[in-house]
Amino acid sequence: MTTPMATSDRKVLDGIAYVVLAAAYLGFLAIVLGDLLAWLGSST
Amino acid sequence: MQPIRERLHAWCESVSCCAALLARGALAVPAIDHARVVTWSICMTGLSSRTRQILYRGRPALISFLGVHAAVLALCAALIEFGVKWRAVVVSPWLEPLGVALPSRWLDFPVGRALVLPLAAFGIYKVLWQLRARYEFTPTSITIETGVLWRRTGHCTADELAGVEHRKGPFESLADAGELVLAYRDGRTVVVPGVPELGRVAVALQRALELPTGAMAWSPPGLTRTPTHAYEAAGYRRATLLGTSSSGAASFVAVMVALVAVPIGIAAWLDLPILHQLVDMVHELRGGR
Repeated sequence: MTTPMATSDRKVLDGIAYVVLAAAYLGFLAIVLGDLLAWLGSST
Repeated sequence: MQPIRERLHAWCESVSCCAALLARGALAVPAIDHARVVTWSICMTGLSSRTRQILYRGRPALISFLGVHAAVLALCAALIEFGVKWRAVVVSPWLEPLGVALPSRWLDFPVGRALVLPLAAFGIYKVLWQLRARYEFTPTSITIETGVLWRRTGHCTADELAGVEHRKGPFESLADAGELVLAYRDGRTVVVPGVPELGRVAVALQRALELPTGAMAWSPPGLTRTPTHAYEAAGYRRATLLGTSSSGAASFVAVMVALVAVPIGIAAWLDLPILHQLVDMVHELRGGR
């Protein structure tokens, strides 16, 4: 039998998870945009 | 001893009389029965706070959507790590045998990494959707407000429902979150994903409907045991509480355009040479070379 997490704990964990997700997505975007711009720069 | 209710009424009367006198004297307001208005508003506030029991009000549970995010991030990482070139994926196997010639610069286009852009935009759109969504559950009604840019609100009352089910994934059980399956009397079923405090919400709704509580609460006619998809088996059709709309797709496109427009805007602002190269490339493409 599992014990449900307290609401305050859930909010804290959700907040951390949102920050981690946003950082991951923005990091990927930075890599991709950098790569595309580098391709653009090299090909002109 | 005077009952609490009478004492509260007396207190309301005295406060409202003072307010009415102040309003008439200091603000020279015409003779409005402020006493009655103030008493009525205080009593109504007290009444509404007593009767309106909120089971949950807030964002959906993130844990229910982590699977989607994990899949999108894994795909992004794979596309970046094993980034394939346009030449290897499309040109060599498909275009060269057909004799189609492409400008040389496009042969080295990092198509794998370019595909990360819409994927990451989708992930960011989902994060924004979850941050902006609001669920409100009371024992007699459900209100859902969603949308990143264009907001939509769906509402249903317990009177419209024939049954309520809930189901949880293996990780959702840890946080008591999951999906709430609502079966309407008109034959629709609606799945509300990521409902936090699911057990409490579902049991309260089932009690409001005077149904036996539990994950398998309601049996469609002709079925003695209710599997999870029994509603569909009994002829119920899937629907969404908010209906279908193109505003979600429009929000996603807006997020993607912003993700491309912001770096270009920064490049333009800083007058970076990369912007001139971009303009040259567009001119070259329009020239048909």
